[in-house]
Amino acid sequence: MVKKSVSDKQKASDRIGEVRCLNCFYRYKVPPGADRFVCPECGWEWRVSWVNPELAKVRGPMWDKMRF
Amino acid sequence: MSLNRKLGIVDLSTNEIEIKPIPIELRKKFIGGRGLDMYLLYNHTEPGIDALGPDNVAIISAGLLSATLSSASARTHVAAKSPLTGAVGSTNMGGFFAPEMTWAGFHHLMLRGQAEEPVYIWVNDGEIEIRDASHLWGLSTRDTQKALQEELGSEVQVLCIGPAGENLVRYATVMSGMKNAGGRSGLGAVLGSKKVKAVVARGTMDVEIRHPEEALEYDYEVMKHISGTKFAQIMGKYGTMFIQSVTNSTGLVRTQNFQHNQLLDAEPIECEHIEDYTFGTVGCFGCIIHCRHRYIVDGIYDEGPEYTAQGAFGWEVGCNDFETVLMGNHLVNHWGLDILETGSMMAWAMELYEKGIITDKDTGGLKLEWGNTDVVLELIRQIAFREGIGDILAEGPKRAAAKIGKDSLKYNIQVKGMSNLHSDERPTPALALGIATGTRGSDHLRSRPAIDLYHLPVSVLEKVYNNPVEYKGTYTSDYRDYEGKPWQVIWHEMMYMAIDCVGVCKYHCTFLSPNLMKFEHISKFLHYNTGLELSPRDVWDVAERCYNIERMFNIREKFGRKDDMLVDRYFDEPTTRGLEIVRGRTLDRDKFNGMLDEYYELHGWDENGVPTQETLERLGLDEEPSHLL
Ligand code: SF4
Ligand SMILES: [Zn+2]
Repeated sequence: MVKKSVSDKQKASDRIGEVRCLNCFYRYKVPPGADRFVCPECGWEWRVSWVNPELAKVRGPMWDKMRF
Repeated sequence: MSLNRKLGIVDLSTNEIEIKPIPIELRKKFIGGRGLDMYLLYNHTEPGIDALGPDNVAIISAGLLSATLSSASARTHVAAKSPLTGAVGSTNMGGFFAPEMTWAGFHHLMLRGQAEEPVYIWVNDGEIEIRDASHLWGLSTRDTQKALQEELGSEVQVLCIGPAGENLVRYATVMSGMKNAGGRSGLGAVLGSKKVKAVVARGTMDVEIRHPEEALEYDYEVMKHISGTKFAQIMGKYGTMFIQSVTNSTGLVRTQNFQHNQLLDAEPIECEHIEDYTFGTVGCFGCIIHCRHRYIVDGIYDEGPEYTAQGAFGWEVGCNDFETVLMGNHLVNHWGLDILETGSMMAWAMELYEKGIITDKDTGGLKLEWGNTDVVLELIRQIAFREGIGDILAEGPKRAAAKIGKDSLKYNIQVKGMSNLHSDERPTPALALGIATGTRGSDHLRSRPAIDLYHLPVSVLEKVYNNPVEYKGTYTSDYRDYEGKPWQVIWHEMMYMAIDCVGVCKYHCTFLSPNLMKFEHISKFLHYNTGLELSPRDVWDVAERCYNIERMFNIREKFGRKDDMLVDRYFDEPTTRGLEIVRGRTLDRDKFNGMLDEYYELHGWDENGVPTQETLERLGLDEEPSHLL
């Protein structure tokens, strides 16, 4: 088992706020406290929630854009 | 010492009780928990028996690491022939029951025969008694536990059935605490058929730890690592509900039974809303994650809800209302119904209603319309008490379809007669193969390679899947691929079987995160806590042996390749919603069959999915049933 916890490593590599776009899997660092982001790779917009001040997660899409 | 915990055999027809030590050679071959349960089930039943008759056995167990210095070793396993499927019945729950049964001196309890009047089983410090339970019959799961704690003391742990189990609903649960549900396989109905309302445990017999200091240190190290993962932090805040952020957002859930793969405008049931109802999270025995919220809705307390509740009372039935999710979760816990089967059966009935296959005449005037929250809650009641259309739905997919007739079965999303989780596997071949081949029916907890959804780099996949058995085949990061997926399914089958044998919570192993426990951790926990020396490869071999004995049970009950198959809708109806990467997808029938062939070959099974003689000899199963216990 590694001695260093993943959160330690996460801090070390400055991955705070990093989430993955569910559409293209690009890793994106959400600015602290932001509640949405546009993926720079594919342009899809995601809403974000914060588990704690360092850990962001995708909350869901912009539902009004999820139309076919 | 863990290894001196015993097997108690209770014959409910004759009132005879027998207590037996568990031979060390069986521990080495099957470890305990689910694995040893499966050995007992195979050895103590005959093919073709009535699952709700006296010849079935119900086996309740703790894993070998239960109540040791291995955190989260809280799981209780229950096994029997399933009254829902006729296949292997197996279900697993968290809470506090298993450690208490361990302290009472037992790891396995086998109930056979049938009592004439309601009884409960009292397990206390090396002794077992059968006691009258007529005063408990008819009570909800929560009231039953409360009554028994008033009778026997607040420290006792209770495992019980609710009205659904008494009414022989074929997907009734075995419950302990507020929300610990042994949900799948309908084993609450097996206890109901035996007139066993509850099993109550209380023990003060210490479990001696083999290497206590090292065990404590190792557990600390592993738990420190786990608690630092993103996964554990998210789970500790939202529970399993966080999964919907990925699956519903992408388009990987089945909605309105199977008509769509995404609930639109689903903001109201996103996990973040739990903040408005919760007053804190709680955990099972020895758990650091604490994934369950204690919540209050309409003046009623409960725990959860889980991802399964969002599916069952959210997207499957087209409801976009968080309070329906919370209340539905409460009702199934209270009356003792499997949440997954309940949601699926309701969604199926709604689609039949929409298509005119059933009408108001069949439903007693209930409008089974999508998103009708009152109807959803009423249907739960009707199923639990077998009233109206609920009496038919209580029979499970195949029997209910036989009663309704027409082409109703084709709309049911089931495998081996067990409904699928509320997920849609059309875009994800690995997950599709997992549910098709699951020994207890359509199932996400036997083999689901859930981390396949994370698009992990090949280097990470190699690290996970090339251990402890070498795999030189293909690795791909794309969850839409077919290549390399059969091995992933097998690897997770072994991982989940191993963790079920030791009785540790699955969320601590490589299930929803690649950074969690694997075979080498189980090997070390066993060494430090019990002195049982099994290398990581040995642990894999035990898991493979146990998985094969489950398979042998099913083969003996005439299951085979035809039953490792998904319903036609997976192959014929394209997905309608979601991100472009998952839209318009069906499974390719030829490629799916190709995966199945490869899966059988990797297992050492023939083209019909039957373990070959060579495989049985390799695993030391060629003499089964061996009747060593
Ligand atoms: S993660 Fe959840 S289910 Fe597992 S042991 Fe902890 S509280 Fe129980
Ligand atoms: Zn993107």
